[in-house]
Amino acid sequence: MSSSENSATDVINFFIDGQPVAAEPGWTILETARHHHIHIPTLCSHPAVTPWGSCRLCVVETRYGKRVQVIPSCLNPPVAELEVFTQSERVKNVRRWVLEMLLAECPASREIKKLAAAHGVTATRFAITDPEEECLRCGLCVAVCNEVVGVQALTFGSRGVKKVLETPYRVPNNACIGCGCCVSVCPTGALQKRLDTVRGDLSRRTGHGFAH
Amino acid sequence: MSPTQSVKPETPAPRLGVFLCECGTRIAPGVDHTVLTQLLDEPPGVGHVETLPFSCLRPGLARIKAAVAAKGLNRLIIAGCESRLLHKKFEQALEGLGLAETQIDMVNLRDHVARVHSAAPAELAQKGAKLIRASQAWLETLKPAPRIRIDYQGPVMVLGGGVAAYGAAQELAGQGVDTLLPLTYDPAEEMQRAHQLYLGDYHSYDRLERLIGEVEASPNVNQTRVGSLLQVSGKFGDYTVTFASPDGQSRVDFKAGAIIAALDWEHVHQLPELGHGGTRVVCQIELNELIQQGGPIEGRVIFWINDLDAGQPFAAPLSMKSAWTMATHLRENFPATQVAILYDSTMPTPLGSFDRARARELGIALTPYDNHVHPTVKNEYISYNRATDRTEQDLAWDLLVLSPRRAPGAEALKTAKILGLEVKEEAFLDRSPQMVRPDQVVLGEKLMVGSACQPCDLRGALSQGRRVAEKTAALVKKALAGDLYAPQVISTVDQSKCTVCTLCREVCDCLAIQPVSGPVEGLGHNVPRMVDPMLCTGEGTCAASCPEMALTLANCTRAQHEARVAALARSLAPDEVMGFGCQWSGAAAADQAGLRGLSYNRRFYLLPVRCLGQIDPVVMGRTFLEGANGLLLIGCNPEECHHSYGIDHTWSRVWVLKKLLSLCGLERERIALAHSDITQPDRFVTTVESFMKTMATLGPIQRDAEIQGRLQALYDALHVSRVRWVLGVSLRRPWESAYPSHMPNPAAYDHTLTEILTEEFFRARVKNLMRQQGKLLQLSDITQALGVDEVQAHEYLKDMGYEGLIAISFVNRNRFYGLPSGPQ
Repeated sequence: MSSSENSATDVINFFIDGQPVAAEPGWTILETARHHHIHIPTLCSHPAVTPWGSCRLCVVETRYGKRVQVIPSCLNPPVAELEVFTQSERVKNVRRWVLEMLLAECPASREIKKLAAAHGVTATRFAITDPEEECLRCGLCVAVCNEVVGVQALTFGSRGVKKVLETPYRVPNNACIGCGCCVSVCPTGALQKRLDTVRGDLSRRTGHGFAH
Repeated sequence: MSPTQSVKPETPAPRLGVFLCECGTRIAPGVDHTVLTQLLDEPPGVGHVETLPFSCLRPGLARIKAAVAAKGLNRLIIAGCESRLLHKKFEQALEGLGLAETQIDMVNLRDHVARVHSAAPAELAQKGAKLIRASQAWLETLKPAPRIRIDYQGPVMVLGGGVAAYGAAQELAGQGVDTLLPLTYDPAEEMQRAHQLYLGDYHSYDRLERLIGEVEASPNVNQTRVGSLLQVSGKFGDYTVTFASPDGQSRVDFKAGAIIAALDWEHVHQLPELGHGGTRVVCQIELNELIQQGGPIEGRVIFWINDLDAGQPFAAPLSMKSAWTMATHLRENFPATQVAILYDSTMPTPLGSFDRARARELGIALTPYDNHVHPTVKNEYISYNRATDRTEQDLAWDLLVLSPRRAPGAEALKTAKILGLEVKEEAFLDRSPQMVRPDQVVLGEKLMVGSACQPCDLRGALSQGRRVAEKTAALVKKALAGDLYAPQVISTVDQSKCTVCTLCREVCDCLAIQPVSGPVEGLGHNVPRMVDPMLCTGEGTCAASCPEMALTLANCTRAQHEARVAALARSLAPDEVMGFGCQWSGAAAADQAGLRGLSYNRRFYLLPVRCLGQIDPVVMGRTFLEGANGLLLIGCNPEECHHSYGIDHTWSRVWVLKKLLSLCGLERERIALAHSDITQPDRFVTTVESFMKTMATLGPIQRDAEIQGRLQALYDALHVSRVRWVLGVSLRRPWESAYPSHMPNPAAYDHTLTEILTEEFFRARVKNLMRQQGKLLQLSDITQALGVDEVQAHEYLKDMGYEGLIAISFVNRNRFYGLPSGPQ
């Protein structure tokens, strides 16, 4: 009951690609767009975890009065009368940049290649450090392990350009319950190959080896 | 009067809402939602059907909440994607509306239907509808069990007499939690023990002494001198712990809400094979005593870190550490010594660059050796193969110091046994509670800390105690505030049905199943069982193996399983096949197949379960009875079951089903167990395709009255406690070689099993025949109707008569068999 009352009073009316849409307080631009069948490409966004905007693929252009911005739609809530453009030239340009960077970041990923090709990006001008890399370091696996599963079996090691996904102390750890949620959320399938480095040898774990 | 008003508030009738996700374009165009909605509108109707673009996002959740509130829905099916990722989100979102976790079910339309099959959207809608109907049956059979709030009373008891107890007690006292510390030793003895158990930990002894002082002074810690531990009973929140009095004459009972066991290892001398003599070749234990006495120690002292050679690789860094502290101590206090440490070059050394600099300063030689050649102890020299250049070297010694052998102490093992753990002699007590409920990990740790569980030094032992105490304190505070609830899916025991066969205790791998009141004098363990709701992982192998069906898995009952499989099996076309997938492996691999863009036969229907171990054989029987032509069970790889033995039990059950199918005159191949893993979705696809091929060659079961009657007998036979008992005890883990009573090997066991199954199958058929005929039957009637051998049938019938299952009467000297009068 209360939700319908709220929606009547606090509804936020704004525009996505010229289409008038309504949002309730707390919804993000991305959620509102999806609810209205407007497609915005994403990689690091997953409904199970709090968004943190690492892939920047979901950028949209917003106009509010004279203020024009390109912002990630997964993190930003709309305001009344905001104009959002998901397919403007500027947005497309930013997306192509992001995809080029992703192509350099994880050149071995089929999913990224497919996505880039769909946006007309087939080559990258950035240096490829590891041609075998599939992980885009979006952090979905880390987030899901923490927020959904409730353990910290996965983490990021090092910082900046050297940031890598690993387990604490780089050893298979007993905090991992072997649920495979990280594999399920991985947008590129990189974790499917790495899961054993996280959970270790399951057959040696059942009934033994509990971490303190 | 609307239906919501007409029911009592305690047990509202199931009112189901189905929310169909479009998931952007990942489900919607592939599955025709209009057709799906039409199919769901047909009877048995559901309270509400709605299609949402993304039910998992806030706009979708708002719509679900609105529908739940408006229509009074109390069962929800979200037909979208993976349950294990999103179920929690729906639970949290809908918690305020009074919907519990188990009242929400998810059907993975995206990865089990839309993405893995290429067929007309209307056809895929049919498949989706069948899966949703199965889920509907599951939810409508659900009788929500009341939530169990954990009643917590009494202090936290830190028992076991290990040094880690002081770490734990200090932390608990600091957090203001009442703590009971039964002491086996007085503080002076405790320090002495620490010196003996944690060799060379010179830097930590002060710390322990300080801790002991703090704990003694703390008002929150109640210390009592006790004798040895006798018995522990009860469950989390309410334990009774019995000790002998210090003089051993009487018994003292304590109440405790939680238990932390601090257990220590013991050191013994190294084996004589490695040269140990006790005078010139000593162990670190003896050197430690010598140092405490103040010598005399002089000449060349060589520490040989021989743990790897002695088969205790885990202890090598600890021995190295203690050797190092002893070596520095020797150099500082006994100037007449020359010290060297000889260690395996492959072992991880706990020494840092600072230590190495210090070693150079003190003249302690750190010598790595190549482990391809074992060092040999000679009279005045020890010869070894130098790691750097692989040349044989020798090192002169006056005193050779070996590492001690470490093992949990006899006391620790005894305590662990009393706490209900199956312990293996000599093995460390390192055990894992099942890795399925991270929020309750602390309870698994409840039992043990200290060096008997995980080899560590004194500091490590104390901090283990502290860490566990920290988690226990958080849990205790939550319980005291009345916010601690047992999980929704846990086993419960109907104590009136329990015959104390203790099979569940054997099967349970989470230590949750305990005697109701602990071993009773005179009765031993012969008292009914109960389940500690905080330890139970809700796997359900225990419930599915109970011979008397006295155990039930709350909110995930056998009735629900039966209703679900029945609903699906009835709806399947003759060429369609169903299967079960374990959420950890089979179902997870199926999800993964969808995500990775694989595809397989769309005639395969997968029902996810928490663990294959909870599939009761009765449920398997029901699938065949209700119309399934084949059943594929996809579980974890052998030895990788998240619940330890669920897959092994399933293996036994599938084996029994195969035998029974042959008795029915059907092909054994109609049921199959397969193994899978989340990282191998391609293998999952191969498994499914292969099984579908097998099923295609077998074709559907020709269901005439005869076959249906036999399947009914199969189903009935699986309810018989004798069958369930022999099935339950059949589990033999790979390391077990003993079989019960007179059965020396697997073949003999299998022979017994076949005999029992044949007899019980016959019994079930006879009873069904009698029920159908409704009159007294002669032997010839039975043998003709069932097509069995007359002599054998006579024997079986005679036994049935003895057991009172049938009544045997004589008319004109002819035997007549009939159902016994009275309730059937």
